[in-house]
Amino acid sequence: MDTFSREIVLRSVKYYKTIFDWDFMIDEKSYENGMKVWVPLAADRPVPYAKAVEMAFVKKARAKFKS
Amino acid sequence: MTWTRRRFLTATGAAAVAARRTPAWALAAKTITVSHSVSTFVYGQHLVAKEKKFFEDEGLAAPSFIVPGGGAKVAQALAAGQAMFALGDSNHPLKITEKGKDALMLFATDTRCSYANVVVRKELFDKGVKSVETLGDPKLVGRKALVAATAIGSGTHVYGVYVLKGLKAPDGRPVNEHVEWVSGGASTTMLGGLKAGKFDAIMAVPEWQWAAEEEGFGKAVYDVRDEKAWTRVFGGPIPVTVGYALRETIEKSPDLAQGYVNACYRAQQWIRRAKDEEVTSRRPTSTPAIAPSSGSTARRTRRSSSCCTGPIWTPSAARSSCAR
Repeated sequence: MDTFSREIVLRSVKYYKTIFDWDFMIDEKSYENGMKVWVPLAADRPVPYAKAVEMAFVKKARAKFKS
Repeated sequence: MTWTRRRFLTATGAAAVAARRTPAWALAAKTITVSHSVSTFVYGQHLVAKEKKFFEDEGLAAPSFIVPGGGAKVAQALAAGQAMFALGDSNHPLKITEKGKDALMLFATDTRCSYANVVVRKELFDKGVKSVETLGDPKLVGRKALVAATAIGSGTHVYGVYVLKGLKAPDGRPVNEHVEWVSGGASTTMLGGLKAGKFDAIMAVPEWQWAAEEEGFGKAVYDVRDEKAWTRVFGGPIPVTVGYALRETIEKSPDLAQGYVNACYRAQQWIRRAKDEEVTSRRPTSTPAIAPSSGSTARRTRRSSSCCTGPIWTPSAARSSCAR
């Protein structure tokens, strides 16, 4: 890729701000929504939430840096 | 070994120079190795954390990012122990786990997939293909619709198939049963293929969608920014891009994992509060990239590609052309 204009980059920033997850949390519902997409094309079989997700660090981060 | 006067002066002089050049924080900091596929705004949390010295505030040194140019390579680097922490597609830690090493998602940076947009040829749109559903109408399309993902099995393919399976064609069957998936490659071939009529639709990152619409040869019929449209297919938010690490890394070094997550979380909050123009103006002071090596020692490289150097914010089209 060549260089990009500042305008395009600014547009990208605005775009991604609309879909970013500000709290960083992965809850079971959103994980299950994703699992329906990932299996079978991206992953062979479902992986249980508890085996795949560790939210303890985010919870501590959120407590430390309260918005 | 005999210490001559010259050898002593050379050794002590070099040590003194090195000490002067090493910042105090770096002497006490614990070094972590961090990876993402290419330096686009999608992975902005890493870049902001480095630029704003949030890693350093956590007592960490992340001197360079491992930027191998593809999400699958990031996962390989992490599984091989070349990277301790990574930012990438949520299916990568699952794949690592499937191969026998448990990997864990530590946080999610987004809630929708930026490359699940469907853009059809303008000519078809004008004929009435104004929705994903009508893409499954052979009478309107004139043939079994050819839909391009960057590659079969890529992220654009995975999310595209799900969108097309989730929506029904006029005959009541899933749209996906009425299309043929093809590999479209990177920016030039994806957009060129749509423009030339080689493809009837493409899965598009935002920049491709903008280019096709503004140049007048394509029109979005599925836009992930439309929350209703997203929820209708996906049922709600999905962690698409995640921070992840091996379980053994987290168990062995929970303090480093906490510092990494803290720094990325602060970066995300900074992005949230900063004016868009302020985010855009951020530039790296120095961001050397390290390409994973096949051996135990990483090979340090300074890449000339815009994927890895220059302004830290390159559009996600770069990610797609380099990585997907």
